[in-house]
Amino acid sequence: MSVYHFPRWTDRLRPIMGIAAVLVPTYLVVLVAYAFSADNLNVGYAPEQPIPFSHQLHAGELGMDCRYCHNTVDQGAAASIPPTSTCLNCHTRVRTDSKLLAPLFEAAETGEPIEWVRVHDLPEFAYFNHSAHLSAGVSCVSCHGRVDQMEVVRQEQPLSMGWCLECHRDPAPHIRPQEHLTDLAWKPEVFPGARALGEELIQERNINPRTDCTACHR
Amino acid sequence: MNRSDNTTRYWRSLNDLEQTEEFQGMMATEFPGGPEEHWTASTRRRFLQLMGASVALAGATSCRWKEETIRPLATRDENRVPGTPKTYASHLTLGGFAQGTLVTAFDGRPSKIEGNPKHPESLGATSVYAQAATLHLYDPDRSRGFARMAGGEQDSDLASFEAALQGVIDKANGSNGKGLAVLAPPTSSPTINRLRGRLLSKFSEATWVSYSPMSRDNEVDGCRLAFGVNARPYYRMDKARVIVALDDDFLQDGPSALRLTREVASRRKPENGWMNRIYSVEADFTSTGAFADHRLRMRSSDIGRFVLALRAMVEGKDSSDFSGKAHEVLAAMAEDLRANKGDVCITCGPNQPAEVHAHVQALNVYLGNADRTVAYLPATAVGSPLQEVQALVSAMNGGDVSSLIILGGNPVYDMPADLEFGAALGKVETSIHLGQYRDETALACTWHAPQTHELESWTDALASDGTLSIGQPMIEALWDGMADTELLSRLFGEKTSAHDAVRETTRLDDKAWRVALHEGVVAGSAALPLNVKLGQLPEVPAAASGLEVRFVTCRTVADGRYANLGWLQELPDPMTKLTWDNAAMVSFATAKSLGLQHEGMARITVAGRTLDVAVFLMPGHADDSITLALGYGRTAAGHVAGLNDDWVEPVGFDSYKLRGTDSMHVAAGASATAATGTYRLATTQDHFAMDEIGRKGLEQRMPNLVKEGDVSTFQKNSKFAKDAPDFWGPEVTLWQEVEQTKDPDHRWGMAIDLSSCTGCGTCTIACQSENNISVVGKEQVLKGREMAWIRMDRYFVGSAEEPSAVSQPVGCQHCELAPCESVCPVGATVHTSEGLNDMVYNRCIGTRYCSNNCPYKVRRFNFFNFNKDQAKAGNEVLQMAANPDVTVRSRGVMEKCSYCVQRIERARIETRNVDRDIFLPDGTVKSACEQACPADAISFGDLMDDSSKVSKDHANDRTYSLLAELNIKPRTKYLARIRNPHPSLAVAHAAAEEGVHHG
Repeated sequence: MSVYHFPRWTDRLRPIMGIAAVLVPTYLVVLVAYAFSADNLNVGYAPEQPIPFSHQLHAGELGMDCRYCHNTVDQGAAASIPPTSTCLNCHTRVRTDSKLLAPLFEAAETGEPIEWVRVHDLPEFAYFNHSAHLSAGVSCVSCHGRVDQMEVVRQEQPLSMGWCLECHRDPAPHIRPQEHLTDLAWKPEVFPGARALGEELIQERNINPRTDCTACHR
Repeated sequence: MNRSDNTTRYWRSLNDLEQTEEFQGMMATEFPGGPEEHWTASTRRRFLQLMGASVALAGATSCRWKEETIRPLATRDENRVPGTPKTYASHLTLGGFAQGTLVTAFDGRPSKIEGNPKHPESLGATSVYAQAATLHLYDPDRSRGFARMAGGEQDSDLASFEAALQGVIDKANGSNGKGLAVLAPPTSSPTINRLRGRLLSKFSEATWVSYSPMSRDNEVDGCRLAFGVNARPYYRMDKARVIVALDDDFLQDGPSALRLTREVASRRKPENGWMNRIYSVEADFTSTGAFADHRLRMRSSDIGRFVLALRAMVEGKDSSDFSGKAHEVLAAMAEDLRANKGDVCITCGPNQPAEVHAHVQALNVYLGNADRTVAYLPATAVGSPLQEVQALVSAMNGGDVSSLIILGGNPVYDMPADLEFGAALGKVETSIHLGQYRDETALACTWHAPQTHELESWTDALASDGTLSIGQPMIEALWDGMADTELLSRLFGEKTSAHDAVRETTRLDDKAWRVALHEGVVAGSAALPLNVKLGQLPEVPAAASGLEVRFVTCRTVADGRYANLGWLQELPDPMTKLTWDNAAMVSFATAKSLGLQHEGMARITVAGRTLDVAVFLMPGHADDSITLALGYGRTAAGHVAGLNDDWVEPVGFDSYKLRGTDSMHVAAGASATAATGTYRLATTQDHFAMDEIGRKGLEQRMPNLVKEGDVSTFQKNSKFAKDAPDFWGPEVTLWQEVEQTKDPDHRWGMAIDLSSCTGCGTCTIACQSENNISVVGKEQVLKGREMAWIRMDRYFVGSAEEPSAVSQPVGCQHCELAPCESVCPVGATVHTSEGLNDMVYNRCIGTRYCSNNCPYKVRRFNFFNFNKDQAKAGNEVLQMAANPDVTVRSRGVMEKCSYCVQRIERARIETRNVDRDIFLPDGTVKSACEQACPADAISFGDLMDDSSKVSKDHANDRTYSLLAELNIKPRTKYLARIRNPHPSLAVAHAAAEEGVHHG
């Protein structure tokens, strides 16, 4: 039977293997979970659009209000990508010879929609409503980040259920006065600070974010 | 509990009454049969086509889900918010009369039909047919283009069709219209009737024949016999203290059914003062019979005799024609009619001959009801006399018709069999069929043109009171269809659009037109009643003896036009609870004497025509009478109801094969014998039986599930429906009281008044449309796997021969201490702070423990992905019928009533966007069932608001909870049904009520 004996030095491997048996699967699980987490799959997603529209230029440098284009954001579930005609309000005069805008003028000509790529994509069973959040005093920046500084729009937050619930459970830091909703650079005064201001507004505007399943899933 | 008296027994079906093995099996296993693969080769095709829409969640083939694009409009109208529904007033017609609707459209896709409260014949309610209109619009089997049908179906185009039509016009121009005939359903549409007049004056030799298989023109003929004028009786029942229905299911049938239901139900609440008393004399058991205080079963052929006897009794002469129960009812009826002269109402059904109608109206006039409970309005939407139909067919056979235009309808299928219309059609040189489907008639014509749906084109029509309404298109014609008005205008060489044609007829200025579109009615357009004078009354034809066969319009698929709509096929009939079939309904005694068996086959012969049909033993059916519903056995309806060309077997039996020109309504002298074979009928009456196992427990339990009493009981003790405080012993609970972490904004609740409910099933279909509920097919219904969230229970009371019946809608009761929640291993069903029992589809793993633990049996399980084939080529259009606010469920998850939580959330968001006050005022949220209910029997709202309708209903003396002894605190409560029997006939019920009273 002795031929089957492992050499003595292998005894030293035993504690190492014991530790590895615990650590390796843990490492793999953590690695896979992290690799597939919303943070990694979604945050930073910045697809190429049919027209390289720059939010940095329009919303940042030119200072256009978000609602000039996304005008249904405070009326309905969808913020709405603007119709071609909205672009043409300016672009019948501005940069009419730009090659980059060719798809725009073509769309205006044919009446066919421009196919923009969706950046912030919630699953179909989540019923998100923009207007409810604006009405409560949640700014665009809370979910979309500093769009006014983005040359190409990218996803800034994971938009996962856990992330939504963080705010639904503790909304105070994200509630701001109605007049500053689309002012992405706005910061509350140092005193009393975002939380205290938010708590005040929660009382004033009767804000009671629900965590019931059917608040979002129907 | 001493309940030996047989008259107090409540039972669901014959299986239940006799406690067959089948029923025992149903009780023991709530989802009978294992989940084996259900698509056998022969049934697969039908399931491929069933309703639903699947949200194709992309698989995990890549790390991120599929890239999605957003396609904004090129220009967006002002005030249009993408994804936010808009509601437009419009109408839908059936039998030529309009019912006002409000159509909800998401981004230009109509997806839900509601009633228009401003329309006199809707009052905010809808029929089951109207609810299914969206499914009709998006039916993938609808015709998708013009076709040349002669010499084999061949797709064609508008230009070729117009060329063919030009040939017809040229021929007519040369002959002054000789040889040109139009066959159309009767309609009240002013535009169609105007164009008809214009056509007949241009082509003086042309003929126009109106035909509908579900004609109610006997009432017009009756008025002509009695008064000498063309009139239709128009009933007003809100003031009627006594209502007598003679062979008339007025709560379900006819253009005024919704309004009459509302009016009758409004006087069934004992706390609101006097109650009406309803008598129904009828052959088959109808909703009206079940709703009535007294029901007398009688052959249709004997109704004439009964009317004469009633007249004699009312005049104080006792008639010896009837004896026994019939005589007792007759005497009570006559006494009531005499005592309430002027405040009574007698109606007569469409199956009765004109002479009987004449006598009924004479009796109404004699009792002083004219202009009080019945008005006589100028008759509209009248079909041609049958002689004209016969003349047309013989002209076709004789080669005298060279061009026939069929303007909608399906005459090859639904004409009387003895006319052999299909054969006659073959002799017509050019026959043009305008229809929504390439149906039986299309296949027999030389040309087919796709007809627009009412949701796709401009239409106009009158309500039964004469009020004009205008139907707006909600969507551009899906398949380039043509409206009937557009086809007609082409006959004049014009291409007037349906809009222009309707506009021209109405002669409204721009402002009035816009107001009419907005309101859904043209104000002040109701017809003025005629002054009538009674003339000489005709003889009532002698009642034929022997077996009669009655033809009735199906309560779910009408005359067959809705046969291809899965929602309606699967909607249980209000009384038989039969789905996916029709059957010959017979009484026990008749079945015994003819040797027929339940679910056996019978061969019925009428004037040499025979039909083999399945037999349904119907409690309470008149003896020597067989009732057959029309609308089944279609061979070219589509992939749901039957399509020979694609090997889809017809659903049900084609009763038109027995119908002849001499027996349009009732065929006397029929014979029936047992035929070989058996046939399984898919009834839902034994499904989801509440939990008592065994007959004894069931018998004890029923009076507690559905509580009813006489008005005298109510007067003695208005709280009779409430259990005595100690009846079930001390209240103990197995569940922990829900801890309220914070004050809820609302406490949602529902109340259902059984005194008003007629059991029509509109709530079930409204729920199906609102909540994207799947259709499962006959084979699955047989296994007890139907998905409808609202189960309309129907219980018989009393003996098998002479039962009364009561209906009870049961959906999720939203128990505060819900037993389903505590057994879910994954937290897929949980409670909200506002008291809803949420169902979270994404968490559900399909253990079905929740359903096992639900005492009401209201949870439904998706045994299969009933929607998976909706993504298939050609079927995608069905997805447009789905409500985008509700998740479409997949295989393996539970589902159930959600109290229309999507409506609550939408209302909450919209209200709070305007005003941060969190409380939704009463009436802001209406559940789909509540909104559709013709009887106004359902109230839904906030229990925290003491002034809300539902709070008042919960505080009503008649209110009780289902299975209160379990102490699980359901949020849905029921109001006990109160019957108002004539004192002399109240004996049988007193016994029943005794049982109810003591639990």
